[in-house]
Amino acid sequence: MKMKKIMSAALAGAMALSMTATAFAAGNGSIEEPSEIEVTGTTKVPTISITVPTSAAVTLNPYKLDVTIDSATKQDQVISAVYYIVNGSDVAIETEATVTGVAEGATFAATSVASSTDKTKQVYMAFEWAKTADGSTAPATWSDTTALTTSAQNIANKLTMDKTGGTSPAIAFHFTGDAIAEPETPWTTDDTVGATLAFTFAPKANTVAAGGGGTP
Amino acid sequence: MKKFACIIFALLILASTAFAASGDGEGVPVLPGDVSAGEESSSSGALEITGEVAVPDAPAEIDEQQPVISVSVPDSGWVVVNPYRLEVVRDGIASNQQIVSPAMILQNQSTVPVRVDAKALGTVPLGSEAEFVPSAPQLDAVGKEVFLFLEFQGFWGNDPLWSGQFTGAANQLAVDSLGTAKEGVMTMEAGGAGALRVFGSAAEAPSAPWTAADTVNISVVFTFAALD
Repeated sequence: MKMKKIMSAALAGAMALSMTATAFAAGNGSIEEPSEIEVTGTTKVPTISITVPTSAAVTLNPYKLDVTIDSATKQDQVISAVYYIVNGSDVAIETEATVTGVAEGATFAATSVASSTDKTKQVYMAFEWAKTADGSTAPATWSDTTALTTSAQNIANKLTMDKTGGTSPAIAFHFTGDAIAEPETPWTTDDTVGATLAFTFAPKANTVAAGGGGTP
Repeated sequence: MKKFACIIFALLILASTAFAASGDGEGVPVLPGDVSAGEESSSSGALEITGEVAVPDAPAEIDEQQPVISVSVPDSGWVVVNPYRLEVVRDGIASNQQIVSPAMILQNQSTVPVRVDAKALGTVPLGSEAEFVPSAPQLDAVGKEVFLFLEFQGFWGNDPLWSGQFTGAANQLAVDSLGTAKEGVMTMEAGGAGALRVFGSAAEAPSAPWTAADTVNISVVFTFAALD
């Protein structure tokens, strides 16, 4: 009878051991064989999707002629369309821009030359950008104005596009400025200005509203 | 089993000895000891027999008071490092905390309360640029820093209540790549349960953005001791 009891106990022990997730011990009151949990980590990363124009155009119009851009006729001396960068990501995107001016037959001025009496071919050309609601609505005001030079310049302020579906998931930019209207040597079509733009994007952590974020 | 074989063998030896001592061939056992007999030989009469029976030692009894510890432990779990606070939905959990994990439940099937000691070891898989740090990363952290800690809660009936904020309390164990350990991280009542969750935070704007490869794993080793 005792043997049977011991055999039963042994069988129970064997069954317990076969359940790998069960730690079982009798005797000194502690489990000598430790039990272990392997916690496997994964990292959740956003899906980054940003639409960026691959080219842009700027027109130098020193004689204030009629120029039609985006169905609008303007007489500005430096004219460009409004271009858009649109964030389709599920996370906000911090955007940094570097702009480098390119000039042929003219030089860049650091400030407006609209009232200048200088007779050299100077162009004040500025890059401006701002956050906007979508990829087709120009902002009412521009948040930064940076005068171009032939050296690369980081735009002082970074802009953060909201994640897709947010209030401002896009950035608009354009070029504006003026030029010496009557230089000593008349302007020709060989006198041009342009720019190289480089954008850098970095995902930005979403903010968690108070009381949000799920259970701690 | 070996002990039992010896016992049975000893009994057989005794029986054969007794039969041999009777000498009458009828198999009546004669037990060793003092015998008082009448003055006359007779085929009948009263015999008063006193003596001892040599028996083997009884097998050792199982100590019924010795506690038996039986704890079921999940053999795996998961944690999501979510530096950008995206929506994580998994196993019925929806969260945008930077560290998301489920409660991993241990069941104490013992008849006694059990003290739980824990060791944790964080590992960084090959190709991951994540690194363990001993406290919450600063906002301007440039590395892919992750601070993880384990929180333990013994409970009975109601779900455990979690702090989720690292204070170094007795039921919290920080995780690093060198290994950490703490005794008595929780007590599970007899028939009760305990739970473990991973909490922490991660650098949210490292100089190089996080990728899916930048992950970490944790190994948690438990030892259990019966409490009186």
